[in-house]
Amino acid sequence: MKEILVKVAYSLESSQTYYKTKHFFYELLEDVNSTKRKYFDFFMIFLVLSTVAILIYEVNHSLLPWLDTYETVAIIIFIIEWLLRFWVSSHSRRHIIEDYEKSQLLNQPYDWTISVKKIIKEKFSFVISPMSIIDLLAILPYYRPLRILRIFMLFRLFKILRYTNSIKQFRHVFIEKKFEFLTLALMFVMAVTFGSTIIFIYEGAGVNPNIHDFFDAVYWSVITISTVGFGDISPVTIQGRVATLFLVIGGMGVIAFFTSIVTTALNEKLLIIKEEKVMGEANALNDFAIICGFGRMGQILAEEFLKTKQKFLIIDKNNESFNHEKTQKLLTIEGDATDSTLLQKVGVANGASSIIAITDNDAVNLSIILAARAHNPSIYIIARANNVEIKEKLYIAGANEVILSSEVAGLVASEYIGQPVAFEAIDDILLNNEGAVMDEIEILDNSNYIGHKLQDINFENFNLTLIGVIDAQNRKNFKFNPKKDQYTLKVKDILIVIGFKESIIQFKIELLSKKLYKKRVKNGK
Amino acid sequence: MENKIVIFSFTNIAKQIAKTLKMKNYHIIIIEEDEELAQNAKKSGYEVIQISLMNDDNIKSLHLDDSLIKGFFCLNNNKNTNLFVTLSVRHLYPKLKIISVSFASEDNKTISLAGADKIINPYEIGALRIFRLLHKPFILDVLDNILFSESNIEVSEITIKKNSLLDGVYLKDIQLIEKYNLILLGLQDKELSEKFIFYSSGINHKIDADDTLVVLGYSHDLKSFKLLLNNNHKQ
Repeated sequence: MKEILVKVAYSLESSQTYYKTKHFFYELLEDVNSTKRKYFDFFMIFLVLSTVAILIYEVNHSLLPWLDTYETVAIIIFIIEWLLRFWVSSHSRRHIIEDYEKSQLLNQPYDWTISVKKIIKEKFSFVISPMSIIDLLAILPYYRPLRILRIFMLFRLFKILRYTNSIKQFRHVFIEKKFEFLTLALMFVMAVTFGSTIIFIYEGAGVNPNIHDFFDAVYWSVITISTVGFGDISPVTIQGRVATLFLVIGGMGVIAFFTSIVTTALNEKLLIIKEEKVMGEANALNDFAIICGFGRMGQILAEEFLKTKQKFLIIDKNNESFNHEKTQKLLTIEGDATDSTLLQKVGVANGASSIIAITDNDAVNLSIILAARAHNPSIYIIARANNVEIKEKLYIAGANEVILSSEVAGLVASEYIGQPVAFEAIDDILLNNEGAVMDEIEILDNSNYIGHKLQDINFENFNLTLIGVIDAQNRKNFKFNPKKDQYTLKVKDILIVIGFKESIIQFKIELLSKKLYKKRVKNGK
Repeated sequence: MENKIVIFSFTNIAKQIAKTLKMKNYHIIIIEEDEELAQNAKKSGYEVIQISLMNDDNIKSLHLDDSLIKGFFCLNNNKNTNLFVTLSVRHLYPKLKIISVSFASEDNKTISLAGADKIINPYEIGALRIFRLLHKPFILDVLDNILFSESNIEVSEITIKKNSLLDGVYLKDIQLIEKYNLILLGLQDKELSEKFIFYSSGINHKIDADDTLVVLGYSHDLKSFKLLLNNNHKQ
């Protein structure tokens, strides 16, 4: 027995197909971030709703045979689903292996019952989990002798909860607002007891023909306090009517209290749900930038990022700017970027390649730099300084680059005096206006111009102006306006050109297409 | 006599502009109403006039029509003050070169309407710089090299005089540029529009008098090229 168990566990552990199958079903059934799960969930929701529809149809129609078959198929799917969930809920083989290896290490005989106990305990805790019970209750009514339990079919509707993520969150609302709900329940119970006792004392003993026992009194007071007031039981004595007045007034209070608790709790939760969604999306990203601070500078930066399809996430304390229509589609988190747990949650240490601190507060920027650097020593940090004196401090804190916007703008502006036309040209290039842009073009290793002289490229034809070349070996070595008949292109050289976007794209294609070039050589061009 | 620059408000960006222009040997005049800022400006060695520009008499007292004044910078942090001063100055001195600061792209239009020749948006420039740092670091290096550093590569503009060697020549036919190891970025034809025509736009423009060429090159090459244009004329 022992040997078989251990053998099976090891062979399962080493089997790729077993692992893959189990992982596939895990993704399908339980993985929150899986796309497969979405389709599966839709399918199951459809199945649940259709079987419930059959139940309703059944009430005053005779059941068609094919509907019966449909029901059977649905139940089989439900059972398989439950069994699969039972399977993926835990990793039984690991217990056996762990325990076995532990006993080997300690040189003790292996007691397989311990592992089996652990496995049973885990599986059992799955079976009695609320969701599993709902599943089972949804399957149960199919058993013919238990047809009375048909009402349990409605439990299938609860199954839908399983397939929708956000509804799960609402369960937490009730847990978090436990105190308020308890107070409310206490108030409610007190008012009901009070009201029903009064009505029962004054009208119970045959005074009111509709009140036969204490249950009628309780029924009446619940109906009254909830302001539903059917009117099937109504007070006939003065005392009873006075009690009703108080009950109705108290009832309004209870309802107002209840509504306010639920709405505020849901409101709070909605924010968290949205945030979790953003974080989930952020965690799935790779090589993205975190923008801290969504002021004017942040907004312009975000626009540029959007243009180049760079992935990014925005954190800002103030959510006012987030409500803007333009920003609705962006990944935004309302929070304090200096909070290092928040930074960690959004993936400053995994996934993010750069973080940009551009709030208008130097102290906040400094704090963001330190927090980010603490989590990730290699992340690229750009910070904004609002003051010259701060620049040095931000470098000390660990920023890779510090931007002093007034400094750059000042340099640009002073250029305007003296050389306004040259300035206009530079301004166009600097601001990425619709005019010409300056771009870098790397010579890739499959390019057909490697080893050729610069003069072999006809920049004129592409309407490009070559400014210079950055050397492959030494990136600091910028060769301005190299002699076209002397410079030979190497792999990874970077050409710096000025031209319109379309020309640059055309040129990049040309650099890659070998055929075109060969054709040209043939034609003697 | 030195060329003069008048700067309204001694803000952060003003400090930078004043510093850069002082290095280029301009005489800087700071207009600042606030006592503390005015003192700061004085300490930095600039001429300071401590008045408000919210009324025309004060503006007139500055005599901005002095031909030595090469530009007026309007750099107040308050958008409305900027608009007001820009408009008043433009109204009094239609020919003065006015550069105003804007902190939001939406405001650019209003400021040009008020009469500014040029609008500087520090946030926009800063944001684009961050963007380049992340995506085009080499471009940034090259640009910095040419524009802001002490390297000997320069951008320069050359206005073509009548009968100059380049008068009447087509853009694509200029061999001189290559001979002097210069790069032609493009030109502005004042008669056509204020807009700058990039060489890489592919338009083969005919150069004539009063056009301004913008060229890129080593300082010594630029110098000898300019000398050549000045000393030689078409027959």
